[in-house]
Amino acid sequence: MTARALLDLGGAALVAAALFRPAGAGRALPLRALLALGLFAALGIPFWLWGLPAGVPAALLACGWLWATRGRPPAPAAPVVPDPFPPHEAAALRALALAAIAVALALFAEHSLRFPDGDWDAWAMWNVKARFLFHGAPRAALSPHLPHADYPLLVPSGVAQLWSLAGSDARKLAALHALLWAALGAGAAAWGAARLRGATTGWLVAGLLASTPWWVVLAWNQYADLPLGACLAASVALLAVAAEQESPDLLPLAGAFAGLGLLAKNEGALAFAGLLLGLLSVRPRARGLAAFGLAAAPFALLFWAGKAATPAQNDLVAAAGWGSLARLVAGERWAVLGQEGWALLRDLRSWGPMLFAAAVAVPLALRAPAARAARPSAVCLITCAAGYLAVLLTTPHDLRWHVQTTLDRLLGQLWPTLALWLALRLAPRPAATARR
Amino acid sequence: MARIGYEGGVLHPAGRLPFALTCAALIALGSFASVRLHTVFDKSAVWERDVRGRYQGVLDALPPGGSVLYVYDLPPPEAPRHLQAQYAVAPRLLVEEGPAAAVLAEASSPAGVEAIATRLRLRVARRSPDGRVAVLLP
Repeated sequence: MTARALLDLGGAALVAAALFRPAGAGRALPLRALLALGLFAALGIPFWLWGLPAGVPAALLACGWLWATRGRPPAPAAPVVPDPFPPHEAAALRALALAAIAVALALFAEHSLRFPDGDWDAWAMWNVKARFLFHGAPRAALSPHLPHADYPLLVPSGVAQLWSLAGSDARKLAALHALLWAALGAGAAAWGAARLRGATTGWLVAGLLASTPWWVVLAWNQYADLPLGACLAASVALLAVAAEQESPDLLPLAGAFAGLGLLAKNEGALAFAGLLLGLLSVRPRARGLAAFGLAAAPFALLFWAGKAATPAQNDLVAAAGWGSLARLVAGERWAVLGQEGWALLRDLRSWGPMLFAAAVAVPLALRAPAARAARPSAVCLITCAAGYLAVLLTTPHDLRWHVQTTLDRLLGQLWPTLALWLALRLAPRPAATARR
Repeated sequence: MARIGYEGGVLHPAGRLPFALTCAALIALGSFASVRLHTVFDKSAVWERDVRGRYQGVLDALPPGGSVLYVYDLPPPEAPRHLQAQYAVAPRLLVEEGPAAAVLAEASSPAGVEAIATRLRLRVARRSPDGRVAVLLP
């Protein structure tokens, strides 16, 4: 088990290196680590479901690619935007962001020690499936006796892979897994902001995410909304850089992250559609579009195959029908959604000032001069928000209960992408890009 | 390729400092709110702190895999315990009906566990330290 997990880890690192080789992304450490983490989890899924050790063929394919392109220099990294903040301001803001990150880490550690099993979704859905995978009963992870048995397996597989590496199902490894996704997701959004608006804006985005109370809660709860949010933010950040700096070589990476998001949660399908529309909004060349699709294709295939192997049907899909249309246009359901949305906006305990500030910032950002880089994230956010709205309005469950138990987590999925979009629209930027 | 660089100090929308100060204030307030949320809202009143630990004492008495019948006598607010039990006993699959090699009983008091055993005509094979969780066998 440990040897197979080691092979998967090596395969994931090699595939990540192969995907980054032609991309002019610079060092992009958070993105590289995030991709390797996601691939490590994804490579476990064929093994858990069908007994296929996917790490070996993946490593061979990656080695073949790296060997075939050994003489080709990597694409030159597009220039990083100079920091608009003078050094003393940049240092102070960076220190503040680092302090916020330190506070978030301390809270995460203390909470994870007190509640080592995470929270509801962790023990009810994700980590229970990880235990089935790790302890050699993978088919039971798809049992209809479990809640949301139809959900894809990226997060359980990632946890089970770490346990396989360690040779024990230690709970601290599940917490570490959640922490890695949280930190690297924030890092991905910060990378995009730093790349396009300067290093200090990147630090501010990281600091804002780390100081969002609910973001830290999602991390210590070990929820899968956070890995999905991280994949979404990474893909959007790459699309933004590709759009503004005209670097189509980044699109395969964006496609790979979009594909990983598909495997994180069912909502990943909506996020994938949003990312595709976001890419189309900046009118890519056919080659770029094909590269995005080709990189996402293996993950989409895995998503489809996982669904085919799952006997349980999604509760929302099973209940869809003509009645859904009636629910969609029912005024009282819109009123419930409005009431719960307003309650969430005022929830200073869970969100601190962040949600309210975002609500104020969005209209300001919409009035700011257009930014080509911000278009993919805007289109993606609108698509996801419209999809979530439709799903909630047509839910067969009690609407108020469904909204109360879901809305903040859905927002958590979009939070880093929203932070990146706001930064791209509102942060100081070069005059040359302000005109685009 | 867009030209990178700042032209004539053009910084949008309202200048560098308001943006920085707003972000800094939000980061400071957000961190304060995180600490407050963490210290004031203690979930231990709602949830078991150590989910696996609650069932640790009875795991040895359960078969290593397969289905286990889960019978509980808990008031409605505690009903989600069956999800915690499933997490703790995996890779055994908890079912609420049908054939199973063993029974995992859980109640809000040791007497409740005894009542379940009597009702099912089974013996208590292993009991958790607090007596509220037990493995029942024929």
